[in-house]
Amino acid sequence: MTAVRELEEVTRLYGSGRAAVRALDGVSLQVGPGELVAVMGPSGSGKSTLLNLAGGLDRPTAGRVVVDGTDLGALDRRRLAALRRRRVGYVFQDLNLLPGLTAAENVALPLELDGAGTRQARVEALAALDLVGLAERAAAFPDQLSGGERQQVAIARAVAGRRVLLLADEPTGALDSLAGEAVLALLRARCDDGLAGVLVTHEARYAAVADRVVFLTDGRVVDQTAAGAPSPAGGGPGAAG
Amino acid sequence: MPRELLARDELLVKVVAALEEGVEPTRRVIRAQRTATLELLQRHARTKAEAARRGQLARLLAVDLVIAHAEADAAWLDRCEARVVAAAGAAGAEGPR
Repeated sequence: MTAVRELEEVTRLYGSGRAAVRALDGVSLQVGPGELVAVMGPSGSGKSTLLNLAGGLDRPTAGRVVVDGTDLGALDRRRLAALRRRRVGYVFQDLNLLPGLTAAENVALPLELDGAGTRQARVEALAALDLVGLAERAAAFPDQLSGGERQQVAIARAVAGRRVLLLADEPTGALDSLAGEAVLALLRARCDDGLAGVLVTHEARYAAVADRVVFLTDGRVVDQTAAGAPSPAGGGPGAAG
Repeated sequence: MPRELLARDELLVKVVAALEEGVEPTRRVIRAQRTATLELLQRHARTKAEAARRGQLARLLAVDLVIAHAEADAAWLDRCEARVVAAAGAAGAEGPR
């Protein structure tokens, strides 16, 4: 399996000299197509730094970040921005939906900014909304949607077009538990369809939806769950019904 | 330390026993337990997804219960590590006892 996203011995320092803060310290992480990896750790452990580096929002002080075969360090700002727009989808706790645009227009906007025609962008936006079960609400404005629905729109926006990598930073933060579960199920489904996903969360129940859970402490990976744990299809050891 | 709690909670016994060995051994025990708890939660999550697909409400409620217990363990382990680290910081190189 070729990794969609790969971090090789990545270090990120903030500041310099004796005041330098080592936010990430030699972290390596691979995420393949169809794989969802959760990242957990206490505040200040480097989770958000890792996500920012993974998505090309920040550059490492040392090490390499490779997305879909492209070394981000080899790209100039313009090409890096294009790769971010086309290949990487982001879901944040703050949804960043534009209140004056409908759900469909919010999803279509990044595609149009990337050069797609209005009609093509709308077709892809409606397809993405359909994927997250929100096609019937395409014409609704954000303030007409519930918190869970707004997050569904944000996920549709993150997967619309030809994205290969989905990055989610506490996507369930403002939601009640059932709405949070629904959002995680959507992320899981998109990864089952072939996207590579990285989920930062502090909630164990949501992290458990991932194929692998990585624990960060003080900028280092200190542990991770085994990949490919047995499926419960036959009533595995976790079956409790 | 409430004796009845020590007598029935294996997780507590493991962590308290590790305290005698020092900070880093205690953190290793906590991390190993947390990883095992997350692996258990991953299995529960798969069971839950399957129950949801099949519309098995009673099974869903049962899995919710075991997930809640495992989540509580994970949260408690996080708190343990934070306390151990804080205590070590306060006590200097001696570590908590």
